[in-house]
Amino acid sequence: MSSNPAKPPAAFRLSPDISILILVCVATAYLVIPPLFAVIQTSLTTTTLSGGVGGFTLRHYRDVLFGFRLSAPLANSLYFAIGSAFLATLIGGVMAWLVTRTDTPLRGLGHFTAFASFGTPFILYTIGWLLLLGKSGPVNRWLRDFFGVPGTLFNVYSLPGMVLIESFLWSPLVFLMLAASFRAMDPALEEASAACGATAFQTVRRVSLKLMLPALFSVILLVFIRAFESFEIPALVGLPGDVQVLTTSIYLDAHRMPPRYGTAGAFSVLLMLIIAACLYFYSRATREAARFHTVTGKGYRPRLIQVGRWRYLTGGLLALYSVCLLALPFLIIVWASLLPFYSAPSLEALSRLTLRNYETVIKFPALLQSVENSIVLGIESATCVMALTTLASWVLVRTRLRARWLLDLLTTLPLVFPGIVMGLAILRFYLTVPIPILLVAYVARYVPYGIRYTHAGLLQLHRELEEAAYSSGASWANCFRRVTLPLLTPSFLGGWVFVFLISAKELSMSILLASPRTPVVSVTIFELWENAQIGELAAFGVLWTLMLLTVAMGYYLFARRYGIQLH
Amino acid sequence: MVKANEVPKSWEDLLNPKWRGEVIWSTSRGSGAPVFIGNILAAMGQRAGMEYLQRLTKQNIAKSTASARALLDLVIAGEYPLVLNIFNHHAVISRKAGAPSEWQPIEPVAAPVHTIGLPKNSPHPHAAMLLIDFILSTKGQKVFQDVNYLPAHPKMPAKEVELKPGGGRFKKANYLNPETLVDKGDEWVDIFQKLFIKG
Repeated sequence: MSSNPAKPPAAFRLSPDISILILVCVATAYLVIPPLFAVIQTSLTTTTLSGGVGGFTLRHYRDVLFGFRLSAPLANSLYFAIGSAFLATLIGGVMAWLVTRTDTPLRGLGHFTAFASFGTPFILYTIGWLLLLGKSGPVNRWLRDFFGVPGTLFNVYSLPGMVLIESFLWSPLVFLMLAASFRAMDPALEEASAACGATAFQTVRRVSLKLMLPALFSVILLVFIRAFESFEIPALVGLPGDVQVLTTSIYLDAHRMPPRYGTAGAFSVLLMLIIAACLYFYSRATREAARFHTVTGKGYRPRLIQVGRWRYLTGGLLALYSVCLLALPFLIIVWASLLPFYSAPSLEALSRLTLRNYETVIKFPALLQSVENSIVLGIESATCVMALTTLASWVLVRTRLRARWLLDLLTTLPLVFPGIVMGLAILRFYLTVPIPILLVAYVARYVPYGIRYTHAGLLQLHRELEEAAYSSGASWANCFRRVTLPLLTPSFLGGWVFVFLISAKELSMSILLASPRTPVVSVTIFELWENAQIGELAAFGVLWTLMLLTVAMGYYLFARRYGIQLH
Repeated sequence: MVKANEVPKSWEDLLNPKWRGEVIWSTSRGSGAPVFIGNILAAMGQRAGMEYLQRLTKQNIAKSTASARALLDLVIAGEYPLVLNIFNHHAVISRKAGAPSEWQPIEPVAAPVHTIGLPKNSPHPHAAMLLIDFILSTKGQKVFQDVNYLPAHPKMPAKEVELKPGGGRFKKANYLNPETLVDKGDEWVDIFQKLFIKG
């Protein structure tokens, strides 16, 4: 027993801090610095026909800034990214709140939907939505019948259409991230508010919402960044409707020989600067993090709000969320998988239903291999990311070391890379090194996601629990293993499953890095899409989604078995 | 769905206002809009070609990054009645599967050349050479013919003879070899972006 129970002995306190900081910094730097270097180098040099590095130039910056009639694409990009960030946060946030903080019926659906739909490759999902919302899709047909007017009532190939689909794509991420922090909110403040006579609505507005601010701000920022640099939706939905954003401008511009990697590099560097500015404001806004501690030594499982007769509405919302996010796109993909060629759902098409696509898929040798690779890679990258980010979060949240800013910077940096640029950078840097290149790429890219789970989780754990362990004589390792980690389990597991799912569907880097010997599911789906084998793609997508549903189900049961509250 | 007598049969027919917003083409450098533009310029000459393209911009043609095959599927699904610049055998393959799809040549038909090559330092160069020899032989070309793809071998007709030039539906093809695509490609892409993409 130490003579000063409030503080553990200096030797125990200091050395683990610094050694962990150094360890985590080196590991992250190894992952992050090479691509950063490669992007900056690409943006400042010319690329030769064979893909080598040419001479120094500033031309790419000039091209990005003045080259593609910047104002319209920039305005579209902002509209698209801001719209998506807010709509996704609204949808995901409301659902997360209903699931974690109220006694709404059907709460189990929320996690299930989020996990399952988040693991679905974007391209499959987007195709599903375009089939639903397209000119000849069922939604427009119902609208036509309902209002009795001809023509296309909802044109999905437009900015609102893009925002809608992008928000659907990102709302599971919002849901999963916010659910983790809502679940761990201190009920004392809300109870105090209720005790002072505030109505439920007032409590939500003036207490709960304010407690959620840092978490909300962080996911809005994340979705904003992801939408700003995203390519899939702008290409699949925006281009046909003549809506250009910055990424599609660059894509169209790269249709040249040799491709303009430099422009993409310059774009990334500029994007990085914009995001750095956002992050600066973010860190200022959340500087007084102590105000947001919500898990203290006192009983911390939040009280569920009784929704009473509102339960039909809230339960209905959850069901609607499930139907929109999972059931509808899944059903239309199932429909597509059963047809020899795609046609909109109709009685007439029923006669053509066939299982031939499934037969083709099961007999296709590369498919099984890609499923196996994706699962192994997902497990590896989720484990690496969570191990790294738990330690990193601990240093960031718990220590007062000056060098924390470096770690903060290193773990945030991968966020600013558009996936395709990161893939290219890793490819160029590691081409000759025999490493598991996909694993390195996934871990590097998903560190910021993992850290959002563990960081938020730790922020909400008051240090008094750890201090109690130290004052009882625990070493750092002991305390970390027996106090911090168990308390962090919901965030850790949530993050693990999350990273697993996003790794399982990663496309933009894998498409450059996966080789014929290491096929992964998302690239296989992309190749089927390129070959326009919609039927086979849909059949494979259905089987893959069912597999992910099993993972989501497995997690759900595991969490229940070990008493991790999901709602 | 387009009725047989309404199908545009000439470049001029494509300018008919009734197709405004009803046509889609691909942004693909190797087989999409840039190839269409290059073909028009080659067929009509620089000046008349540019004039034609200027008029074509009024049609608000939808663009997609997807492949020609995927765009044909959009047409089959009923999203757009017409797609420009597809591979004609795809339309036939789909029709055989029962899909409502048909192709219409407008001469000269742009014909991208597909290439086959052996990379330097490949691990099994001799096996690769044997494979290339097989693919180019009549025996290898028959594999293409059997699945309704176009055999490149001059002595091998397509399974549906009319798919190849001189097979009955069209005579003139404009073969776009890789040199032309490299030399002129950027120019066509520039024209495409300047005329057909809103800033």
